[in-house]
Amino acid sequence: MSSGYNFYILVALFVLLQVAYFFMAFIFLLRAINFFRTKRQEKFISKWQDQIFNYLYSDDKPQSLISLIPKSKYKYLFSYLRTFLFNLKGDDLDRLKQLITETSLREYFFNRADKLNRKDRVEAIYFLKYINTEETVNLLIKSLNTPSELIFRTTVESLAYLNAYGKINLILDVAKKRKNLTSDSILSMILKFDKSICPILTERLDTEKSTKILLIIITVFWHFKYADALKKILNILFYSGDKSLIIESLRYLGEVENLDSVNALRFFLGHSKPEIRVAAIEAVGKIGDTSLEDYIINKMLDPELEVKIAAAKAMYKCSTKTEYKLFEYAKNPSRQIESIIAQRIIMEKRILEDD
Amino acid sequence: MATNKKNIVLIEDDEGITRLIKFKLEKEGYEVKSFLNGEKVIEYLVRSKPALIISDVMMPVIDGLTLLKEIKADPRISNIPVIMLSTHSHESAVLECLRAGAADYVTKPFSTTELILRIEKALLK
Repeated sequence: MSSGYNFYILVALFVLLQVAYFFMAFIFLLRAINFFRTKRQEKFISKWQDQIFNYLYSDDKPQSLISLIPKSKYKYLFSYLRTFLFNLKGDDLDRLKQLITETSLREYFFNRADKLNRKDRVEAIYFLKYINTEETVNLLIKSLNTPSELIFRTTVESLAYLNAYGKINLILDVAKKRKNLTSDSILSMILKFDKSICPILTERLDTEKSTKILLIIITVFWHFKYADALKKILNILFYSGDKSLIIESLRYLGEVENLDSVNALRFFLGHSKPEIRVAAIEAVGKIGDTSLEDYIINKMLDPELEVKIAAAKAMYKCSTKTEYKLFEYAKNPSRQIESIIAQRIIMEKRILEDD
Repeated sequence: MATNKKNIVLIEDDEGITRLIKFKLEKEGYEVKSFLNGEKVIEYLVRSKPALIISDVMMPVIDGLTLLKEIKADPRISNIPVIMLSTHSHESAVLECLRAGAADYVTKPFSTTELILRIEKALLK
């Protein structure tokens, strides 16, 4: 019994040792690959750097530089170019872009954008954003329907760089079908576009049924402080009945000061759900509307603790009157809970201000 | 020690950007000494008294803002103008550096032509 037990321990140790060896060999291999790649990159830089920099500050034709670099070294060239394309602007950036738009690299990227190899495609799609033509946009749109999330993301980011805001509906339609994409992920891609997408997204509110997409759109409006969508957001606020949509809409109202939004906020301050009351209070605190200051002061007497805390935070920044009342609450021993909350918020805010 | 008007110290952790700025500045007639982080830079600055310092804000070991404060707190080198280079374009980040004594603040992406003009302006002060 005992020798059988020892045998199993020995087998387990042997297996563990094998796994550890395999793991170490794998790490060693990865480090070796990385080492040799870095060496080759350094070799490329030492050979070509001065020629690339000389080209940047000369009137030389871009093709005269590209034709010198062998295709086998392109991956090092692209890796090197990325740093500068990201960090430079003005004439420097224009000269760099010419290396892509006015040379054989243009066709090279077009040909590779629909290759099967994922790495090649991602690289081509990344660089295609510097070729601002309809042909590029059409090619990128084809790449949206890919199973790879990385290709999809790179494609959307390239479309955003090209300011192809007219394609935003198509992007959202495809994103909606991709079940593995989180709201945050879609949002981070869409926010690469500028404010030009907002009118199209406002139109979409009329037909969009997905709560996930509606939430994303409202967040985009909030991000860009896009006031022209107010009417439609108020519609969602009063008729959707979805808690998350109401909360996100209230957050949006906090960025758009207007009589209609103030009226809506007043209404939602009295909502039965505490999370919604909190969102309404936070929005009031953000716009600092004095017509709502008494409502905010009264919210300190709300039965829910989270609502009291939100009210105290809003009172600190809403107006002179609410700030004064907050200090009164802090000094009022007959209202112990409100007093503790007020003291804590005042202390927190002062620490933040001192920082 | 007399200050050499053409000597610039560049502290930037991105080697590619360092090489490019160095190339451009040397083409414009400046002598450039570069560092990949702020460690041991103070010693060098005291010794060499450059005409100007260009420093990245986000760097390993010592960040650019801390380095700037150290330079401005050292009377031997506090008069050397420092141009900060950063990806942060937010007003608070810019103001923080200017309050700490930076002569100028250049945000990435940047143009080397603009950087040269700002260097010339800082050297004239």
